[in-house]
Amino acid sequence: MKTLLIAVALGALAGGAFAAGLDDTADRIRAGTIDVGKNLSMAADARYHTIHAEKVGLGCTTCHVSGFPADYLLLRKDDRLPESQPGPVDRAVCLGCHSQDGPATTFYGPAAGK
Amino acid sequence: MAKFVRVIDTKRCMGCRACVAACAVENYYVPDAPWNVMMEYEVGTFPNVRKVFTAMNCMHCEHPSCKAACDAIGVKAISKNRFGVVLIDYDKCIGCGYCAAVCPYGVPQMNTRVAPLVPGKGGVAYEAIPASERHPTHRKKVKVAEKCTFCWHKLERAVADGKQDRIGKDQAYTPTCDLVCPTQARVFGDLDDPNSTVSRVIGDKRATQLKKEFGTRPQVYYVLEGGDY
Repeated sequence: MKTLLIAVALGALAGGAFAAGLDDTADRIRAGTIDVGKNLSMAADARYHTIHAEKVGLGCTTCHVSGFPADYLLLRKDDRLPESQPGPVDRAVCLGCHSQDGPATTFYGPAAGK
Repeated sequence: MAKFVRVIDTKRCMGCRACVAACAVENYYVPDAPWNVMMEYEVGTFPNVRKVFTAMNCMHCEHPSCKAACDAIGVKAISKNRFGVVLIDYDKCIGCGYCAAVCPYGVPQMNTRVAPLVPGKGGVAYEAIPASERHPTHRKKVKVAEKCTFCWHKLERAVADGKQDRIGKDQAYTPTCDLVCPTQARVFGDLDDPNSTVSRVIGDKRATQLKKEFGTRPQVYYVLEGGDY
């Protein structure tokens, strides 16, 4: 029991530290003190993937899925992707950080773009 | 002030794709950038199965994530006008794809090539109309994002003609996809008018918005099996 409590406490501390780290990273990216490049594109070596994969440290499969459920409504979800693409992206993953009160720039909800 | 919305009744839609074809002609589709796509999938367990058809186009969200992303990187190519229509300025768009990446509905399409819609046919008559004679939303450019405009070229004309009250009623002032539906599964009109058909359909049939969890508040409503959720 004692071991379990310690593990839970350590997990909570690590989670908090990770969230704080994300906040700090997001602030520094927005302030320009972390260099993420200026190439605005979805290419693997451009700013978008530099932020998410390199600076935030998300693995490919955090965002890219092998396929959507049948009733997942995403325009052109059935299009065949090029061979090099790791798979389509589930936008629900973006919500964690890009909604209001999330660490990243707000894209979702009433505060989007504010 | 009017707020234009669309209602799509998935219980009436039979997946004929007349709306898709009409949009293609009205809006000068190019092969890689359709503005209106029919999704279909099966529900139920054999032998009690059926197919669901859902036409997807731009939701013209009240809080558009595409605009938020575009503004955040300083491009500011996406605007939302006073009628609630979200539009992309092709002259400002840099083709970065951020709008497509953040849209929960996957709406913005990257136009990778301006080519005849039907391969090997050399282009049909409307495709021969030069860009300079088209509405700005129809001046196709490579490496820009495109999407449904709620047929803004028609709504704009209605406003200019002082016929705003005829939007959703007259052919000249109503989005083409909504005109051609043979089952009247699509309705377009002013949500701020409590007597409009869209207001009544949304209320009577408990139409809802898709993916509410994103907080984007779409201006396209769907009548779904089971009603609102």
